Amino acid sequence: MADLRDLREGRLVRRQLLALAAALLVTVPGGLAAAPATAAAPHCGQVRRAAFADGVKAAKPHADGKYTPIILVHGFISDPGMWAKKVEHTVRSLDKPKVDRSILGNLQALPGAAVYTVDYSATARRWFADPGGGGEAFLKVSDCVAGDPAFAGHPAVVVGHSMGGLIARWADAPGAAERRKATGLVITIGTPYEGSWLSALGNGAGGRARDLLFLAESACGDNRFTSAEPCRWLRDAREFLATTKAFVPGSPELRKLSKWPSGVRVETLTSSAVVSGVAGLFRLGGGSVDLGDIVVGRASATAGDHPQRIAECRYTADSLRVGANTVLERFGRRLDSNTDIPVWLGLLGSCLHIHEANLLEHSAEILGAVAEELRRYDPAPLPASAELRRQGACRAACRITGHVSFVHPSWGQVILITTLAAGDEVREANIVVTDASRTVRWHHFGGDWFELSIAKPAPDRAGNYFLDYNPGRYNGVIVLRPRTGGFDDFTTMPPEDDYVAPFYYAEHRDVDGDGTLEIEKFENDCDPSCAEGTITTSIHRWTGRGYQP
Amino acid sequence: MTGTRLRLVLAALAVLLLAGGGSWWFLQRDPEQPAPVAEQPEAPDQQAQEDAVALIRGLPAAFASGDVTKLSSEWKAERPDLAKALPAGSTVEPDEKSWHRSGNLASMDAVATAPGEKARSYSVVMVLEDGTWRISGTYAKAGS
Repeated sequence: MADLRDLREGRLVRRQLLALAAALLVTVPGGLAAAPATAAAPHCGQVRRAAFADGVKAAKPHADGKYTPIILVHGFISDPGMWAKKVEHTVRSLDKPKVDRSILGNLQALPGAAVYTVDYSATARRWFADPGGGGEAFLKVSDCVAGDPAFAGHPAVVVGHSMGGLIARWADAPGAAERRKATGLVITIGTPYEGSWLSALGNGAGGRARDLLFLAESACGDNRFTSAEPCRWLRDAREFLATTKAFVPGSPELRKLSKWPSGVRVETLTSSAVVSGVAGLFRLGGGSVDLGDIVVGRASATAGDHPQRIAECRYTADSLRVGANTVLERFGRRLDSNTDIPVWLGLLGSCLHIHEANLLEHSAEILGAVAEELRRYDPAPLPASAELRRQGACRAACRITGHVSFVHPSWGQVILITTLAAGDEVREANIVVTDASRTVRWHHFGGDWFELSIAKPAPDRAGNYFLDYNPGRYNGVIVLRPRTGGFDDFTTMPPEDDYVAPFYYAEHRDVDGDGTLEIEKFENDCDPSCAEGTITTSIHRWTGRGYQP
Repeated sequence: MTGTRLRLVLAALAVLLLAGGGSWWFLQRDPEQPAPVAEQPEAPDQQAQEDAVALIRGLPAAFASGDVTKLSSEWKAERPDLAKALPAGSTVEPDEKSWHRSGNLASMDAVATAPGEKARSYSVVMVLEDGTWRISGTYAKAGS
């Protein structure tokens, strides 16, 4: 009989109370809604931003005064409280990492982040696409933030655990083009894209992975350990998966779901418990056994051609014993004797499905990816004119005549710069776009122009950037609109080293005073001469695809 | 005469009581429910446990003779080197108290000793195939 020692000391109890308080802040509607810091935070209709966790006092907007919505979607038999749990697992050591923060608090502390948690806990034991299920709850949040001006120009970041990842993919399915545009980056953790191996497990199949799971469940069946959190959760998961056949690989529900549409940036994370030197036939080794996160196999969780990160827990017979103790310590118990040790409990440690959002490695990966995404909105630094010349954007010494920052769909935060020659001996004009690292991303050599500048407002209400140029006689108008990989110019751009274009001899105007600029184009019939000719004007308006009179 | 009448009255009363009680029981019972049967003690898994002990103890002899019938179909398909798994002269001693069963799977701890080697502890997992327990795999425990 093993010697069980109760470790439930004051320190442990305090830690559990703190974790409980943090979880309550998230799950209780409007938990900190009255706090002054929240008043400055964007809300979205009836959808409330997650209450601040881990001592975060206020959200800090991007330089443009707006926020990027970060939407966290929990998985089956779970709730939003999972995001507020402290990061207390790691694959590198079987000891508890000394991190006193949650993934929720870490994300909230990022400048520009407005974190929302989708709560469908009441229906988290159902297939998400069923009426009233998690899918509807997600759409309520994502559609609301997509239409909120507080997030204009800042597509959402979605982090989905388990079934939460399936929900995010379902919401961005073909046919939901508008919603897809409002999604910038999706990170899924342990998502059963191709189903759950646990769901497919029968007594007649599964081999060594099935056996190891059986041994872990047998250890959980011991009266001393049935109340351990991983054991309780695994029992729930088994029951849920046995009744919800949707997660069986190849199920009609899974087959009905579309793949990720092109254009959505997706990263897949998962955990994998790999057992080596344990399984076999007595002295005959059986190689290593990959249990995935015990619920979802790594191939299923990383399906598709996306960047992926797998956190591996590597177990041997000896480390399983240490792992079993780690599992037991988390609920205040420890095995001191080496007799009758339920070593297989160790399989339900750091790499278990339910621990994935509290795993140090995944937490760091998510935080890094989201921080990188948010940095796209940091103002790009304005390069010196000498730097532009060094990169070939100016052929001779040049001076910057105008610049405006914005987020480009391909290059992130950029600066659109106009330049003219610095001296009189050479005349040249350039339109240049540099990114956050001051690297030239796009360049147009205008030619022998006297004037080139960026019109205001930039952009106009339609999202277009107007440039005024003058090669010496008439003014011309160039219109640029950022698109993936470059710009649309609607044929307004003169050829390189030239000035002739459809809107040469034109000016920009806001005819209606609505912030959307029009182009006033002049025509001279030069009859009897250009100096004495009749000048007619026409107003060209934005149609959504170009400019028409 | 009086005695006969008394017996008749008592017999009639007994018939009435039996008929009334029977009718009441018939009306009260749920027609969907099967008639109650005497509660039997839960069938012990003793036979399966004994089979498992015999299976595990018999492995060295079976392996020595190249008998793969005691292995699961998955192991049979792998054609394992039985002489390497348990060299001739090995013994395997199961720990009957560690028996655990759930459906068609069961496990029992065992200590295997090969000649000239130190004893090693395993969890032996068995699977019920075609009504017979067969070895699904052995899983080395700490310190072995």
